[in-house]
Order: sequence, then C-alpha cells, then structure tokens
Amino acid sequence: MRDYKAESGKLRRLCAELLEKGTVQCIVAWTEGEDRPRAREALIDKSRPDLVQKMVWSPFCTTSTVTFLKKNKAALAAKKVGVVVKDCDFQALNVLLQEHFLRREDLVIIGARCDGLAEADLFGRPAADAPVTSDAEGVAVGKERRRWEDFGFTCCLSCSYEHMKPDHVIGEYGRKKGSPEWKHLSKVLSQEPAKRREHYSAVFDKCIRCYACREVCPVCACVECAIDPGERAITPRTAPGEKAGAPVWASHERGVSENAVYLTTRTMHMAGRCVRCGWCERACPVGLPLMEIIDLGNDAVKRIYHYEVGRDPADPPFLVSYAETDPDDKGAGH
Amino acid sequence: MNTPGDMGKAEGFQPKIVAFICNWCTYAAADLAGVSRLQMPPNTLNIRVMCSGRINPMMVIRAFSHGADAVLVSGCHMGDCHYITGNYYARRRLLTLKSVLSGLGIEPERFRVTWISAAEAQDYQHVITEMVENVKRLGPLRMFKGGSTVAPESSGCAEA
Repeated sequence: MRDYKAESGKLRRLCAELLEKGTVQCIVAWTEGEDRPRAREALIDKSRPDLVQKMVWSPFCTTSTVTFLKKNKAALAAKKVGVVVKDCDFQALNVLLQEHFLRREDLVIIGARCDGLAEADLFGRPAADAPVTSDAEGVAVGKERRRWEDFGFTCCLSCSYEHMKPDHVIGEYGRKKGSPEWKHLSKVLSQEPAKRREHYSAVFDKCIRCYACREVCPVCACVECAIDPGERAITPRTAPGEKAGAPVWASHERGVSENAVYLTTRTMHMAGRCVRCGWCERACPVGLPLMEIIDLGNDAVKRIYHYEVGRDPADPPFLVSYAETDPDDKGAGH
Repeated sequence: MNTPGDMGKAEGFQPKIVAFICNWCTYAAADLAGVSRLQMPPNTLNIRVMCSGRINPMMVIRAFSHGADAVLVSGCHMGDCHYITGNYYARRRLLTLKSVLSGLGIEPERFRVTWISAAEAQDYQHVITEMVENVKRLGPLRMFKGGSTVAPESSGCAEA
C-alpha cells in the first residue's frame, strides 16, 4: 500500500533542500489547495516557502508538468530548473530532450513512480486531513475507495512504462503495470476499410478545430504549427517571398476534408512522439475519440519498428532517423 | 473531378493518381518507359522531386484531400540514393503514413511506395498499370472530399 502523505512529505523535504542549496532556481511541481485532493502545477522558487509546503504527489496529479514547463517562459529562462514528473511526463521530457527543445543539463528531474491516475470528482469533498492511499486494486481517500477501472483514465490502464531514470525518485510502484493492449483500436481495425472510412469521417466531421488537443499535448512544442501558423502574422512589412513561402496545408474552415488533413497530420506528427497520456482526448470539447486516431500512428511505430517512445533522451527522434534494417513495405496496412 | 454523390464504381471512372517520383531513378524510368513506347494508362499526374526523402507526409495527405484517388511515391532502391540516405528516411516516414492511412480506411492499394531504378522502365509500367486497375476496382475515394478545400492557388507547397 502506498501512502501519498509520506511520499509528498519526502518530496517537500527534497525540494526544499534543492532550493535551499541553490541546486535549482525554481521547481515545477503539483500543489494542492482548497479543493483537495485535486492538484495543479505551479512554478515554485525560493521566495515562496509556503508553496513548497503545498507540494503534493498523489494519483490526483493528473495534469502534466511538462506541458506547464514548455509554455512557462520564466521556467525556461532559469539556469537550472527542477521538474517533478510522473512516468508519462518523463517520457514527454525525453521526447523534448531528443528534439533539443530542452537541455538535460538545465534540468533536475524528480520522478514520482506512478501507478495510474484517479479522478477527484468521484470522491466528493473529503475531509482536509483524509489520507490518500493506493494499492493494486484502487485508490482510497480516507474511507472512500474506488477501483482503478472506475476512473476515466483509460490510457493508464494500458500503460506499461517502467523505465524512468530520474535524478531523484519518489515512491515505488505499488502494482503491476497494465498490458499494452489497445482494445479500442483493435475494435475499429477489425472492420472493413469502407466502414472504417465512414467511422473516421464521422469523427472528422465533428471536430471544431479549437486546437485544444494541440495546446494540452506535452510534446507539441513546435514554435510554429504547420497547420495553424498563428505566429506568422502578416504585417505591411512582411516580404512577398515570406508570404509565398508559407504553405497553407489546411484552411481554418471546418469540413470533413480540412479536419481530416489536420487530424491525419497530427497523427503523423505524433508517431514516435506520443506518450499516450490521453490528454488530447480528455481536453476535446466535442468528445472525439482522439486516441483512436493517434493510436494508428503509435500502433504503426510499435508494430512495424518495435520502437518505444521516450526511452533514451540521446536517441535521435524517430521520424527523422532511419535504420538500414527497416522493413520494406511489409507490415504496413491493415 | 468527382463530387460526393456521383460515386459508385461507374464504368467510365478514370482514377486520378498523383505520382511523386524522384529525379534520379523513377523519373528516368518513366522517361525510359516513354521512349521505349511501353503502353500504360494516362491516369497519373507525375510530380518530379529531387529525392523521395523530400516527400513530406503532409504532401500525400494534401494530395488525397485535393481529390487524388491514389498516390504513388517512388524513389531509388535502397543504397542507390543520389543523396546516399534520402530514401531510407523516406521509407520509415512513408510506411508509417501508409499504416496510418490504411487504418483510417484508405486501402493500402491507394497509397504505394515503390523503389524503381532508372533502368526498370518495365517495373514502372507494371506499377502504374496495376495501380490504375486496382483503383478502378476500388472506385473513387470519398473520405477526404466533401466539405471545403483550400483553393489550389493558395496552397503552394514550398516548404514544410
């Protein structure tokens, strides 16, 4: 049984020490507040000892500290930044390190071993001092118990990542990791191509192109998105060549065809990078089964190339590297 | 161009095939096929690129969304690339794309990646003939059509 109060205590002591010694200038970590047991990310430096005391690690730390870090200019500017990560965040961090978006020497990684995530909504309003614990079966807050399967975090059930190599470790795994079996995908892929086309057309049709999936993604870190080049504002001083050199891959209009270009492109971009945290699907305001699309790329990478995402930060990124032993056209296609 | 609605595997259906072919091998093979007077259906729109490694998956996706019924990418055999490794990069990228597209329901016959050297004019003829036959059998591709598309003149594909 894991006691998250003890683990959070260990985390607070460790982080206070790192800040005190000056090993790191600031730390990205989860903190809890009034709405306990929910937790959210915060940037904590030496001037906020109160926030250090609010630091927490529990299955309710559902958000990604990496998503927070990659958008936080203060954290990116710091010389040395500590970041508390769970397994999928660590994978995302490795992907960003592979792409040289971050530098390993700028980071102190504090890894919290994760057994899966839990929804705070299912626990109502627990007492302020109710202890959070978990075991192989589920999570408990005080006397209230829920099973892992009760939560909407379906990706966690099929997560099998156990290769975290952080600088400091918090906690030990309390249950056997899930089997990497993607039932949602095999259900879709068992259909005829025409049926699948119909299925995915209906999905594409509903997309409202809000780009929430992109914003919430821990590994979506391009300075400028090919699909929505918002950073490239056209001003009177923009040179004609610059305008001509900016391809319009997909218009901003909503339509099956344009949405299909967006989502297919995103799937290709995610191949070999997606850490399967499932946040795109959870963030989608129209409830699209985005993992059914993104997993097509993940499945190809896994099945054809046996490539594991986010293992080694020194690896070259998957799609911009090759091996002479790559298979030739076999295995592709369903 | 077919509009959604007049679909069906009609007798007179002429598929539109976009072929991205590499300057050093497959383009030369296509050229050789021409001067050797090898007969093949005229359904392809050949786009010459300097290397198959230049093909961005988005180009293929865009071709489909602009109404291509099938897309062919063809380059040099492994190890024969004019730029040494271009086709190795292309292979990994395009086969991943192929798997994604076929998962979405675009039959594998509609997106082919082949390696044809400058001397293999007959292979080129064979691939094109086979693709046209296959796509005629499968009928027009509907998925990416319908809804809006960017006007062709505003979609210059200059850079990734």
